[in-house]
Amino acid sequence: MPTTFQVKFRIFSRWAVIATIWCFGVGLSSHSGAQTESDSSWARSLAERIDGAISEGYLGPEISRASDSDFLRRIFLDLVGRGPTRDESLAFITKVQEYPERRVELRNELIDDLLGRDEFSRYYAKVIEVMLTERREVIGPLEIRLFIKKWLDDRRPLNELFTEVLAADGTGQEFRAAAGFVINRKADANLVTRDIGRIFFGRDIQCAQCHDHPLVADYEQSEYFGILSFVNRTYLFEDEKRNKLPFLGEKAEGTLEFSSVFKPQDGKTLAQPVLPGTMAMDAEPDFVDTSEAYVVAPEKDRRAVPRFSRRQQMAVLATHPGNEAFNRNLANRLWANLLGKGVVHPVDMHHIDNPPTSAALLRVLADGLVASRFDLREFLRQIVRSNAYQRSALQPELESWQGPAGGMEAIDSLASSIQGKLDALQPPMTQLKAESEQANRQLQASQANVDQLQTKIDSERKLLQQYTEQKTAAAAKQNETTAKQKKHEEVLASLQTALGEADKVLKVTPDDAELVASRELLNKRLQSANDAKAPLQQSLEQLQEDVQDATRRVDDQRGRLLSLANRKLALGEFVIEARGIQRRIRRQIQAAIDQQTDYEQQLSRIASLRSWLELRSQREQARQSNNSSFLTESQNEFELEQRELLQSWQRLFAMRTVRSLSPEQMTGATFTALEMDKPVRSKALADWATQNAQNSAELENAAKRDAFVGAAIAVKMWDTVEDLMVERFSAPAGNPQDAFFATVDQALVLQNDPTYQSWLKSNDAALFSRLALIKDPKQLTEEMTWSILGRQPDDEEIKMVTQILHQNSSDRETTIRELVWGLLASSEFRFFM
Amino acid sequence: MTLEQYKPCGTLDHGIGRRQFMGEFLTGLGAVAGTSLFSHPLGATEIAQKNKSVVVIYLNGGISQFESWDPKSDLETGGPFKSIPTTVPGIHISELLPYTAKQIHHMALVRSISTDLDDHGLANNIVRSGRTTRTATEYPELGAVVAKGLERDDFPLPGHIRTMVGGSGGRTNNAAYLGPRYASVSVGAEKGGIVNTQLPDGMTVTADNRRHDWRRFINNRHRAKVQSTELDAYTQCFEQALRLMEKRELFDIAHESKAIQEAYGTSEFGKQLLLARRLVEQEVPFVEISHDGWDFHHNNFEFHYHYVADFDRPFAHFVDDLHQRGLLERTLVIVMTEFGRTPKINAGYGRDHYPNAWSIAMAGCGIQHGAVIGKTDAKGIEVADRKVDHRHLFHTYLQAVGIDSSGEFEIGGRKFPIADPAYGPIEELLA
Repeated sequence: MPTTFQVKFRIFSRWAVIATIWCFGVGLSSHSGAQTESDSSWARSLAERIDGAISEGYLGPEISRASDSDFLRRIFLDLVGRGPTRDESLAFITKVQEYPERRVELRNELIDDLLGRDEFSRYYAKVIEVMLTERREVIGPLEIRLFIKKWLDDRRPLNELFTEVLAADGTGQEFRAAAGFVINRKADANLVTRDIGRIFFGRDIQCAQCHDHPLVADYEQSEYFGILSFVNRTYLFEDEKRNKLPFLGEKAEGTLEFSSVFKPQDGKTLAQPVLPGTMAMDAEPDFVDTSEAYVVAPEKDRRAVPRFSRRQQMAVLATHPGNEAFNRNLANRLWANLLGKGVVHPVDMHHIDNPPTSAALLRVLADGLVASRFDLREFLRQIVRSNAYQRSALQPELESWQGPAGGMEAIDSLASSIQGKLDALQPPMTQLKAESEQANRQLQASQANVDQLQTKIDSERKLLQQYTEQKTAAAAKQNETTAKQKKHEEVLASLQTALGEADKVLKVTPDDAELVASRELLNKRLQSANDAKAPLQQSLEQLQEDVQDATRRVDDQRGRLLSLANRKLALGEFVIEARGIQRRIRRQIQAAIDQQTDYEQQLSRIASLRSWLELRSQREQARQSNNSSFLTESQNEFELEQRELLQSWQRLFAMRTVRSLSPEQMTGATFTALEMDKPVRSKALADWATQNAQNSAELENAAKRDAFVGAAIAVKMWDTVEDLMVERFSAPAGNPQDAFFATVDQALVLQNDPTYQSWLKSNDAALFSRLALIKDPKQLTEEMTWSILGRQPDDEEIKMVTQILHQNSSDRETTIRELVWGLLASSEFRFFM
Repeated sequence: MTLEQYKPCGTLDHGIGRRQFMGEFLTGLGAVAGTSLFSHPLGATEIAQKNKSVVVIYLNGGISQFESWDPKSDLETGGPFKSIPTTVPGIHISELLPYTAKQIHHMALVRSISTDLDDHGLANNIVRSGRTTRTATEYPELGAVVAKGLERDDFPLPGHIRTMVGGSGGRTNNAAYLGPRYASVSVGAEKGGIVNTQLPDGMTVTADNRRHDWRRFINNRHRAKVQSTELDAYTQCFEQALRLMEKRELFDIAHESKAIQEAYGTSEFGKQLLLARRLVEQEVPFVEISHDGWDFHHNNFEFHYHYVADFDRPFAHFVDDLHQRGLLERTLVIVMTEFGRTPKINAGYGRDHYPNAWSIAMAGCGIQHGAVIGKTDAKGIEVADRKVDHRHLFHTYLQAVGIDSSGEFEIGGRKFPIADPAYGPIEELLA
């Protein structure tokens, strides 16, 4: 019978095989290590493939790339979480102005520069930490961010980070922070289930706890319990000996049943541990008795460690490169960070009635993420190089647009060809659905066999327990009797001795009647003791036989159990096979659905474009024939249609939208705008020099030096600006953190909060000391806008500043502070193009 | 916007200039608030009537109609609680509401509501917006519609307020195409009401005006380049902040006497009701109080026993207080929820979501006092008479405070029906 080790090996080896096949299937050749710039053309083509997928569905006007200023602020905020400093801005802008023909190359260089910085991993560690914890704290954000930063610095695959996050139990210095995902949710099984669904798979299945989701056909109760089954054995263990420090313990048993509150008549269903992406464990070992199931058995003051951990199995299955649901979700979330919205939006609502706006794009992104081996820098590099990312967010002028090439005829014929393709999809989809149902039935049938056997195993195990108890009882009895016998021998021996002594005495005093009587008594006792000897021996032999019988029964039962376990493994093979078939068919269905939704979306975009074009030409005719009443009447409708058209193009990412800064970006942007980094940087560099005065090799190590300086800046930022910004601008803990909101309290803080005001007056804000020295209003305006907004001011703005300074010449310092405040509180600072 | 239109800072008509900013604030394609206009001009009486208020007490999660407004004695579905008479002969409500029973003569009940959604999020949506829609169109919530419908030009406070206890929280985009001006603002009921409502140390009002004018200048230039509702929501909140600063003390219930505070009770619910009364006194058009946690699928009776008691006394006091102060005749109070609970009692002694037949209660102006609209059958399974839904109710609420629900809003030249045009109010409920 396979030992636990063998079972484990089997589980992992199977997935290793699948992983290899998968990688080949996706068309990878063996790349090892990090991608470098000079690597083969497939690296550049993800950006091209992104643009290709988008232009497939797009019929609108060509949108040019963002201006250099807009691009500059955008790329800094997106990759290092702050605006460019004045020097960085001027350096880049002047260079591009000098060599405009090298613009693309210079932008790429800037991208590579930023991705290579220590700042990048520091910032993205924040991004990922917030994605995982949603600002819940038990293990604090700093600890978790350091862990993620190190992971990114070591260039380890991102999906494996997520593996650690689920597998970690809080022990071990190196991995403790990873356990934050579960520990910060207090290991509440339902909360953890829901958030694994949302954050790892993009599926908010909360409502499927009590019943199949009433509206979303995709989200079934079995899915909820599928995840819960991996998680429900885990519990929070607070170590009393270490000040209640939290860890995760895990039991080795606990299966779940569920029933629907809507359909209680359907009775209870046994929950199977299955993950979205149809990933399940190959097999779970059956331990003969529970003591074998634990490395550390559960006690009141001891954290249970099972020999086989379901949660750790889940960690591997959830984050496996073959898990499509995981890949799509992660790719979608990383995309949403850079483009403002996910291809599926909201990002935790992947389901059939909330399709991606371009399934082709989502597929390209998911495949690209896998192909890059979850190298975050590579994946992001490709996205930010694409036109989709680099397009201007300024709304296009549609008045002068001629319309799509080939006009109405062309789009009509396109529409009918797409309709034809859409219709042609029906038969294969019907076929696939039938196959899927069959596969489900097959799976259910094989699973039912296994479940039946499992019930038998459970009852046989109970029996084993009984027999073991019986054996123990028999052995105890035997021991008791053996002890009794020993005692008896002792009594016999001493009686014998006593008799001998008595006889000796009587030889001397034969007439002492009392002594004679005593001697008789002793003799009598000896006789009866001798008599008892045989029966005692007999009962002892009987008991020994009983123990042997009991032992034999126990051994037989163990044997029976082991063979049942073997049988279960064998039956389990059918389940694995059935699940594999189910997975394959589901993949095919997903691909067909992707195709279908893309056609449908395309048709709806064409319809929208068509009616806008028609109305526009009608209005043009009305204009020419001076039909002003028609123009007035149709104005509203035209504006509405135009807005819908633009929105549909934005959702396709053929056009960009303006975005708000995240709380982390607000932190970095404010800190940098006020030039609070300058004094920190100077001091850190001085400290570095002092520290390594004797060690020139270390002194010259630019990477280490940058990390040292970066850490100092991060600490200062955390102590000053970050606290306030995060408190004001972030959603409450435990909620999605990607939605914009504007509240009165934010404005009140920016206006009146003493802490905020103190930054404007602090010596740490080097911007002010620099501005105080500038006499020329034009130059002052330029320095302000470059530092705070990353751009050149225009004439109106310079005029206004000049006027304001002139009118308030008595208190220049205060006036400059007000001007800086106005820019920091402006919508232009709060949002970026 | 040209430089000529911009009033230079520090001049005497700066105050006018500021308002002009807000009026001319939002042009262009964005679906945002402009000045409010009905499609017919307002008469003097209509202006006078605009000092009405709506207070919604939203019982989040679905209160059981059996354990509140529509008790049943049926052995299978009625549960253990009895019904009690009220101050209106013929009307009985659950014995769990003894104090409210004494206020029924100010109130009306609707017992025949039937909707079709039992998902919290979606049911919430339709009940709050008075529409049924599964399309992408977002409709404004009742609060935003009332805030706009009862808007007055010189009103210094936000028109759509949600109370909470402690601090000031997020605002949802619940005004849809009406614009961020009408989205709700969350206001805390205690500990100083709203934090940061005083100017920084050493800053004069003149200096404050100066920095805001400069901020608005930059914002307007930005808006000429790019528009979005989010951008407008952001710039809008500064203006709201300034208004709130002027009215700081209003939001702190500590300004009421100890006796009054005690009468409302020390519960979070009681405190918010007291704040709501203060706001109604100031003629704030819409206040919402959320009372959370009604979605109990197990131990229904034990749970309602406690929770309804928590609701009953402060609510009854609130209605009485409004009445005593003469405010009830211009205030509509609505006790809302998103659906009712099942007649069938489940295995956990609980009731589950039930939209098929449920109730709400109202008090105050514009409604027939002592009216009961519709009824359910003996077991409380189906509506037996006068079936209505959230769309009728939405119309009714608006009409009760003098807003013509069959009218339209004009925003940036476009017309938006105020409520679902295919429905109308429950006529017999209106006074």
